[in-house]
Amino acid sequence: MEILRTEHLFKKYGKGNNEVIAVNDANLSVAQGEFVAIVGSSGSGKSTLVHMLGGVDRPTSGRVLIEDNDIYRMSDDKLAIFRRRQVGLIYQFYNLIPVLNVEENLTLPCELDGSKPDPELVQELAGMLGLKKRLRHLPNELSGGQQQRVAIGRALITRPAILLADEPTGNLDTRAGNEIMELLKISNRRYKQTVIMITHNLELAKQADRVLGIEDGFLYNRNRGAEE
Amino acid sequence: MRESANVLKKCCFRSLRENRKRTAVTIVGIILATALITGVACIVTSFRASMIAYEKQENGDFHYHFARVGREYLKYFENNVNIEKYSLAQNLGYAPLEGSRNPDKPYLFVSAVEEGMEDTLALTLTEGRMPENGSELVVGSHVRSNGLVDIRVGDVLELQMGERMGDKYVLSQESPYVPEEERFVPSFRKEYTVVGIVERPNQEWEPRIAPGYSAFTRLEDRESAEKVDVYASYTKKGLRNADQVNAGILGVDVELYRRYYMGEYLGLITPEEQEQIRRVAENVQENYWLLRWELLIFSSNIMNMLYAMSAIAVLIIIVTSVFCIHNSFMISLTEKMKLYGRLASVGTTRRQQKKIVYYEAVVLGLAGVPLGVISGVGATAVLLQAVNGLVKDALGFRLFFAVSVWPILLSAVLSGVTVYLSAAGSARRAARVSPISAIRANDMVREAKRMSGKELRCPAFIDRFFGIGGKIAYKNLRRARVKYRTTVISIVVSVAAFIGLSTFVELLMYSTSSRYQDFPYQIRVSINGWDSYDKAMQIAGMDGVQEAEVVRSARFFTDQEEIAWCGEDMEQGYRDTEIILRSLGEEAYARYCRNVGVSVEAARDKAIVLADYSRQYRKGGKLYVEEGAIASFQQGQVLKGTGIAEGLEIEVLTQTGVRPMYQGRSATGRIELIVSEEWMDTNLPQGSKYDDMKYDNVDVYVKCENADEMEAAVRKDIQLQMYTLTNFDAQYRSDRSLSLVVAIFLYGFITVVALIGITNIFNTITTNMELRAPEFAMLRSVGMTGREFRRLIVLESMFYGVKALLIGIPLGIILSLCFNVALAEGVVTAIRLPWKATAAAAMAVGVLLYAIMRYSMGKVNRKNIIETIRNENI
Repeated sequence: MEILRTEHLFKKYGKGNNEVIAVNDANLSVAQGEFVAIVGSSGSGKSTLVHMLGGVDRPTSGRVLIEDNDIYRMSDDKLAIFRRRQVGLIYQFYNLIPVLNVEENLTLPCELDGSKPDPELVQELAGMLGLKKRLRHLPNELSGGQQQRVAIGRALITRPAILLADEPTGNLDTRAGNEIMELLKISNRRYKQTVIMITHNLELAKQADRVLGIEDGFLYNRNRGAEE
Repeated sequence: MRESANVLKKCCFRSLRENRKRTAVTIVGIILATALITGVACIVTSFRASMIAYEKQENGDFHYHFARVGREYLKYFENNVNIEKYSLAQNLGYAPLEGSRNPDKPYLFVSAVEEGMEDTLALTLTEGRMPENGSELVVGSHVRSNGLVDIRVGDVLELQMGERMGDKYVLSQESPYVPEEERFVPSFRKEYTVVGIVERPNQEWEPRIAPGYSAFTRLEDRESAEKVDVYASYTKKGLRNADQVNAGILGVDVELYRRYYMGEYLGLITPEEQEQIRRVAENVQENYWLLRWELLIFSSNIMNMLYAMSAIAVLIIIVTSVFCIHNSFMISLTEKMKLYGRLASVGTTRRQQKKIVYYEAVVLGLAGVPLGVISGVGATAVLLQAVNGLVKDALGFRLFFAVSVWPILLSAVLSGVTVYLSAAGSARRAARVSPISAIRANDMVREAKRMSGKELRCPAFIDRFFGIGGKIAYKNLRRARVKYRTTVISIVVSVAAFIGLSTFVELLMYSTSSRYQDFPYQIRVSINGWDSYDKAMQIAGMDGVQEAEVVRSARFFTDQEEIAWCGEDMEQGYRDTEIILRSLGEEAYARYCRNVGVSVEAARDKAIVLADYSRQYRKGGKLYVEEGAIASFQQGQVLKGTGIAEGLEIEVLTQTGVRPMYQGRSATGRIELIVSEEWMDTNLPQGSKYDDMKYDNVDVYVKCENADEMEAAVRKDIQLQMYTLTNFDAQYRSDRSLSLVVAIFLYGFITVVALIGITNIFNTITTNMELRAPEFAMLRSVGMTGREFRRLIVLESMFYGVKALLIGIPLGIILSLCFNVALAEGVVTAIRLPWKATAAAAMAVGVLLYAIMRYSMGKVNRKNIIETIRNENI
């Protein structure tokens, strides 16, 4: 079953001579429960693509449909609510709230939504992420890997339709990076979570169900050339 | 949504705690603004309360006075819920005062009053006690001082009471004594024991023209009096509906009462209606100013001005405060941009983002507003206490501190509104923060103006003089112009206000001192009637008098053709065709002759002529004084009198520019003939046909060391009846005190505005330094030395300090020029520029900027380079 689709997605920056096409006519379809990796070198447009998929950055033209909802036809506020319920975002630089402790950071999306976080789920996630003893700590008391795990937990707490990870291991050493990769795979399998991960590390990408490449804004299938 | 609100509140509260210093500075800003608003409210309240107390003292503590109320109608007052209290006075009539030396006041005016009336009428007991029964009496102290009748406590007076009858009516204290038109109708005799002396009652009770000295006995039995005067104080509610209450008491229609009130004398009511109203009371009078102050209704321009001024002050304060507090919210927003961005990336809605800012405003307001109210109230109390003496000197009444609930509440609400307005802009911007700004980890995107390399080129001289540090500082300033704008504007506002208001205060001081500066005399006593000449000479001969002129004056008329006027085209108004004869008193005349350079003998039958004018005019911003003669006279020229002066002749001895003391500092623009005492006495004897020429007053001009002692001595030792004494020293002091009071308030205002400015600058600079910490760390990491770094910072503060001064100083000077033009009319001979204030402002700005920079630099320096760069990514 298809959960995400893009149609002729364009993103341009600048004007005239300075015009840069970051994403050029990207057409992509992702099925429920799929783990997709998008590989590209820096400046290839992969981050722009994932931001547009996550409802964070508006495309110049084209559509993004999540569960058949055209997300950019929503108002900003509706989009914000949609995002916190349906999309989990993980960034290279964790983006945790420095004044909130681990547990508060984890449950933030629920609280923003006004719903009570399921304590069992919190405990389960904390266990899975290895953060059970760190729930009362502030982000600056954690290592980079731990911070990223909190970010993953935060993305998973609302059981979103899609998990978007933008270079989740980019800022981590190999061991921590592998741990994060494992976590993503676990959530993909255990929660039937759709995962789209962006990386420039081919080794990590190979662990995904499908690997796409992006080069100068063009999206293509690593095995078969341009995506259909 | 309760949960979400909680987590956002948590975020906000913790980040406020995290940045404790900035939070404190913002709160201080709110405290200052609130204190200013509260201060204005307290001053207005205190002023009003002081005025009410003053009015009660001056005119009595009652709202309405019902004259001659029949005893059967007293029940209308007795159980009236609208009347707080009332007391009664019964008019017992007049009694001839044996031995009164004041021909206009031959009577005692005796009233029987109830206990407590001394408060209602604001009577001040100077000796003895108030009467306790109907045969005891207190009299006004002016019976002794003015009437020269020696009545003392313990004396027993047997008074022949009675009424003064005019043509048809019984006459009251309002009608002056006119022996030909009134007669005294005796009624009863009574013996009174004098038990006390009171100060002269206020004007309401005993007008200046009143023919009877006030005396009071006790009203023993309400029922015994046929008609009494009722002095009633109303409750607040009663006051608001005073017309209804009064109409109710009088038993008439409200509409009729209003017409009566508006136009008793305008013929708005018919005689029948008049009768209707007079059934209960002869008339109703209000305690005008007391009512105005209590109800705060004014038609008077002065009061409107007071209100307009405080409204403008509050407006300025609110605008400055909104600006300043808004600024600190903006700063905290810049700082939290990333926080908001991160929250947005997790999915906060715009509403929620706005809410955080408002929540922050609420927290800061709850901390700042009450503290501000308290400090505003406290500061006003201290301030008023401090200026009280000066105000007493300047305005003649005691200004005491008073607070009431409503103005305080109003100030708190206004301050709350200020905080809200300040937060509103930030909230709007917070709502616009997009998640992408957090993801890009760059909050400068919106802030910095995008500039191409060309625009950002640095002038060569900066590079040459200040090196790479200067270059970076300059570029920073250009790039982050918006950010520094608040700092620059804060400095500009404070500097301009300081310079402008300093000039204002200086001009004020200068004008009061110059007006009295070399005034040649300190005291002037004008005594009615030429026959008071001996008394006048007595003053001139008193101890402590250095010089005195006893001036008698008379108009003189002569054929205008006889006079050789100068300057035909001279504008009217600078010269006067009137001619005045003056004598100066023997001693002063001799002195004057010496000064002019003529002998007294030669001058004896002749006139020394003064015919100068002086005028001031403004040209090219400067004030010029022009002096010259309005007419010229030849020695030996004889002036012949015409009209009522027909038959008089006087020969001119000389024309001079030497002015006698009485003329003060500038010429009069009139022809004045100074003659000897002998000439005056021989040619204008008392009772001659020339009496019409004479001025009513003899004026004594006294130069002395101690004007206050002199004044007291004159008032005490010389028995004068109709006179006015002007103490110019005291007037000068009073004017000066007024200027001082104004100066204190203005400087207080400047100080607080400057303080708000400082909190502002402090906030901007420290925040900026912190935000730029990574940039600095980067500079340090590529090898910038501590020295170079310090220079960068100093240059940066210097650059925008200079920029702010370049705008602020000219603005301040323009403001000063405006004050010069507006205020200086006739006072200032050259435009005074506020160099001292300007220098002080420039120095203060320099020192302040340096201090704040050093402070934040210290903080940046203490940070570890790598740590700082790494921290960016948490």
